[in-house]
Amino acid sequence: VDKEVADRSVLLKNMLEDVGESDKPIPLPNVTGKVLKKVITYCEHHRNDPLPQPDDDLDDTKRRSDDIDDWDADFIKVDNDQLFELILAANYMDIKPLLDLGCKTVANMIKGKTPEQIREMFNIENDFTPEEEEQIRKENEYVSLPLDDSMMLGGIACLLYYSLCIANQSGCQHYHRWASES
Amino acid sequence: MSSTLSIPTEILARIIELSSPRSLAAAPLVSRQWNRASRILLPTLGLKARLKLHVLQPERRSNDQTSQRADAPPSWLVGVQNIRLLPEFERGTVDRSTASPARAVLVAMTADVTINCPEFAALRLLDRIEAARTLSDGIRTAIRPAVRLPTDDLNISLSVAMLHVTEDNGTALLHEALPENSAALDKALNLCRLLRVPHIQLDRISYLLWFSSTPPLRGAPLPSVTEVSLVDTDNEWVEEARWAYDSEIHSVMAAFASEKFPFPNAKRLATPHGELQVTPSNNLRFLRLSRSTVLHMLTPSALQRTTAFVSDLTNDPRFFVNSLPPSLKEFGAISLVLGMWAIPDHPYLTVLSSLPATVHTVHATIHFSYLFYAASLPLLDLFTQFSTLLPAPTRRLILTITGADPPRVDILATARKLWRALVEIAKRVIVDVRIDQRPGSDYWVKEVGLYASWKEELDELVAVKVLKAGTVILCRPKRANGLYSAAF
Repeated sequence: VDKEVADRSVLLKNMLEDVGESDKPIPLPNVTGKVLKKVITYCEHHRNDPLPQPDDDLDDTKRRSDDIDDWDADFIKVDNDQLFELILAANYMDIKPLLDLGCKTVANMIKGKTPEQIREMFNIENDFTPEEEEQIRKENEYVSLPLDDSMMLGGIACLLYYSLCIANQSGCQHYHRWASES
Repeated sequence: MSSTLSIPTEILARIIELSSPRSLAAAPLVSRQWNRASRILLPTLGLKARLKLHVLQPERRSNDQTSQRADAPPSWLVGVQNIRLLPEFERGTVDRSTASPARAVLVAMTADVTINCPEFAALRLLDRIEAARTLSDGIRTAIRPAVRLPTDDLNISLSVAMLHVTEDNGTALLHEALPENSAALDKALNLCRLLRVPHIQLDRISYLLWFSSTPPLRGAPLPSVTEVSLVDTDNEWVEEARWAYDSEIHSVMAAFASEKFPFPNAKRLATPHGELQVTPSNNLRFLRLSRSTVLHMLTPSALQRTTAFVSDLTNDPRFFVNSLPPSLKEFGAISLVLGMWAIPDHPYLTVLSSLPATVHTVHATIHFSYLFYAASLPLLDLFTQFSTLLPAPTRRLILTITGADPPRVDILATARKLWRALVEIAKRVIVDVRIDQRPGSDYWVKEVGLYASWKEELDELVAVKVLKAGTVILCRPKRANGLYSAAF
């Protein structure tokens, strides 16, 4: 493998700098040959890309999952097992763009899916008790409220406001006005 | 066997972060590991806050409830109006400069926060971090029963503060600006400064209270404020609370342009009757003005910095062309209706001949019905003559077609007539054709087919080289998803 291809991996780059010029093989115990071959294909294709910068995470575009280019999308079309192996390899070898590609791919796969569908997709066991599951569902209710619930929330707000008006002994006029605005 | 058992929790969190907001609701329920991953993320609540100042009615002043309650702990009245799960909205509301930026921004909310003015006193004595924490805690506590928000890992970002003055009975004060009310307003502005609120909205009453306090426009600078808006009250029954007079708006604009406001970094002033922008090079752009009289109120230095002046009906007799800023680069909007239709002495001739040689962009308007009814030849004559009158440096004409509900028939013929009439002027300047999106034009805006057919006509004329590519651009109202792809 060319040095510039190997340098896409921060792990390999650091190791090469440590050992200097040498013909000794570098062990990668956590990566299978099949996955390593795939990783090398990725690194060869992206050998001329700019290296990731430390402040890249502050860039909004890095927080999106819908910006995968055609080659990468084709490259990452693998079964789920291999997908997660690639993610683990990218994490171990410290290849951030490949790790991002894997994470974005899985993120796109779970978009709009229910917990049950996610479990089924990745063969994950539900290890919650029914009571725990109910409790977590309640805790996370706020993120799943549809837009149309605003009317209901407005009504709740009125009640909240009303009760605070009473608590402050400042009369109910606020409540009536709030209710009419809502 | 689980496919994701061996995935580190941190990577799972990254996956959830990159996915849709609804994944934050689903992920914690998948498994214990996914639940742990979800808890790494910090949902950020983008909160639009309205700081509503309640003032006392005159007959109740003797009770001096303000001073009695000055040291009372703040109470927070929060009304949730809506929940949006849109990343675009979230990005617009989150302050990245906060000390502990959110790991993930997955939830945004528009809510009203009502704080009685005496309660500002309790925050006034706190430093910024403490004040922000107190405010956030109060909002979080108040909002929790309504929507079951997580109480621990929730960032709150105040994106907008509206200073809105009402009496206890809901009506607005006008000239009864009591000293304590002004003081309460000062406290509210101080709070905005402490919390680094980037956008302040003032209704007419709160602005007048602030403006009439002594010394004028007092208060410590608010460097965090980048945008100021004058807004009409939502109480339509309180006439005195509405921005009904152009002169008042223009007075505010003049004060803003002269940097009299304590907002040293404010770049935009939005009002119901126009907008003022400050460019990165510190020039002034007046846009969407309903009258042109603002020019007469500007100081010489502000006038010198004015590079854009776009008002309606600037060839109206009330417009005085001899007051045009000397460094003007963008000017409008010249109404082509009058010149073409009924009045033989084209009023815009005077305006055009008075434009400084620095002008490179001219705005003009023409009503759809004039396009529809006018014969092809007069239209061609109009634009040809117009092109010869434009100042030599002019490079772009922004032509806005106004008027709603065009006749459904002969739309293509009208388009063809317009494009052919633009042939001569398009040889001199780039013509940017835009569709007016004022209220009432919904019918037209919704007719996406209209744009497509106009574009088709345009393409045909380009293909047969009647028009040169790139010299006429058809834009679509932003409300209908931005620039139409017809920019060729």
